[in-house]
Amino acid sequence: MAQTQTQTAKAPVIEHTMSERFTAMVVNEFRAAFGAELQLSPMQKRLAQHLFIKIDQALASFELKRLDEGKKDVLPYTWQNINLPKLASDSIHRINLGLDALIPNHISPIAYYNKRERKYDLDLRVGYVGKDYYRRKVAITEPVDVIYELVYSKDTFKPIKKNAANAIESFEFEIVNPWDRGEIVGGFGYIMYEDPTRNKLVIVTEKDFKKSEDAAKSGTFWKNYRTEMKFKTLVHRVTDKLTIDPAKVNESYAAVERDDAEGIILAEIEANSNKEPLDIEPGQGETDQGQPEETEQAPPETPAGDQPPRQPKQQPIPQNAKGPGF
Amino acid sequence: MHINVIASSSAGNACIVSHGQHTVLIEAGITIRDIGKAMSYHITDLDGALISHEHMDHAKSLRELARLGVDCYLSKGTAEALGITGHRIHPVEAKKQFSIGPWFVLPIDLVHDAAEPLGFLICIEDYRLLYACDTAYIPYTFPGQLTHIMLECNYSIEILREKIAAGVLPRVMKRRLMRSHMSIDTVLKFLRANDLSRVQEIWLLHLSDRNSNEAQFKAEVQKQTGKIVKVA
Repeated sequence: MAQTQTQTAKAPVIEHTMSERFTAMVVNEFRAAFGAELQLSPMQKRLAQHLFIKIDQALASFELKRLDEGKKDVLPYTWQNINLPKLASDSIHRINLGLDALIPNHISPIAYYNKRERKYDLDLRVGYVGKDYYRRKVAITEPVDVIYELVYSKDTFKPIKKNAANAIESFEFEIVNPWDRGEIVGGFGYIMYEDPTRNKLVIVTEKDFKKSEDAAKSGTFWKNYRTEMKFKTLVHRVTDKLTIDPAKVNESYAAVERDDAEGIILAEIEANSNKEPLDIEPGQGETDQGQPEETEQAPPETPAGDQPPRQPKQQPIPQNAKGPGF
Repeated sequence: MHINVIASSSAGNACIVSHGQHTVLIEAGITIRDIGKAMSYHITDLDGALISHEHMDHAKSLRELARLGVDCYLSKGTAEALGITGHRIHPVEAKKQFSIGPWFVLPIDLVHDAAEPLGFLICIEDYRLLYACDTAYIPYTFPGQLTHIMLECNYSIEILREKIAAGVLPRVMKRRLMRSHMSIDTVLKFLRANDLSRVQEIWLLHLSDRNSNEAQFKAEVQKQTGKIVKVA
């Protein structure tokens, strides 16, 4: 009788790279959180690996800064301290939109401490290049190209609008002196379609830049990177003009648009709160404040004792002031 | 210094701050009758009234106060938005200090969906009260050792997220809230950024009915600061 010999074949040990483990984590966390199976295409797996590399670099950078600043009481920026279910969900949405974290200005991770979870929430902020990329894909008609140009005072720019005599909206733009273009006076975006009669010219003025600057209130960026901030504003303004196709809007698009808004507001609050020290100087109360807005003088009042006067110092009455309101 | 918060919500805001014989009203977002009732009908005893912005939950009784002879202090933008003028209406400017009797007041510019919203740093004798309601954040710190703090503490971002996920709150509402009201996280960061060694009371104002958790907010501020925390 032939003896059957069972031989246990040793399976080769497969060492998974960190990025492969991250991809597996994303899939597993997504399944655990949403009870849904997820199959990533080879391209999506590559995007997940790129996202891992970007986040890993960002965490190393945050941690280095934390140590440099001697913030020992601040939770270390390590993978163990990251809110993974949220990261998995946010990652999937960005991967679904085809955003590549290794392309500059596609995705920037920013860490916020989540006190409920006692971990960091990573906000995967979508940059202006990423927004341009995914918004083109969800447009009703995908443009073949979009041109963005800042216009300087010494450039010449002439918009050519669509009318009865001209079927294609267009422009004439010339950089007269590339070495000294003067100050930025505005910008334009030109959205080009296969059918050129659909081409659209979007003009952004200096006043629009100012509105964005005021709305952002992120003085530091606007002060130090003015040209870049204006170019980003231009891209945002132009991509907002792309008409979104409701049929192409999916959960990932909705999630990224929503997170984008929340992240921007939180960043504004963080960048601008608790900055300038202010104090009051008792005894310095008489200023130019509190002048009445009309000609009628307040009834004379006599301050009691040696107290400071009850009314602020009055300014001369303006000649064009209105009459009594009461 | 004694603080009496008469009302603090989107339905109306008003509080009376008094020290000795002197009293100021902050906000007039309730009826003149309710203000009078809270002051035992001695409205004319007020040294003045400070109004943060033109929304009716802060300025409802402004005209009546002025008619009764109370000096009212508000920004020029607020006065213009309300279309109000008069010798009792005193336009004031952010970061320009003024006085009302023994009170010294420094208006501060805030971040809200109003024409020219203000908060107020109010000083009388050794007391320093900071009042900041209806703002997304406070751009300033106050090294002059505050003794009383009154801050809006409107919502929790976690509650907002949950409400949106449940479809209870429209996303556009969330953006508006975040851009014009202060969250518990922003309040805690503000308190961390300031010297609280002399602080006697911290008041949390204008809690949202739907997007806040009073007990949790109070506990978090108490835990972080170790101070008396009151919720209005």
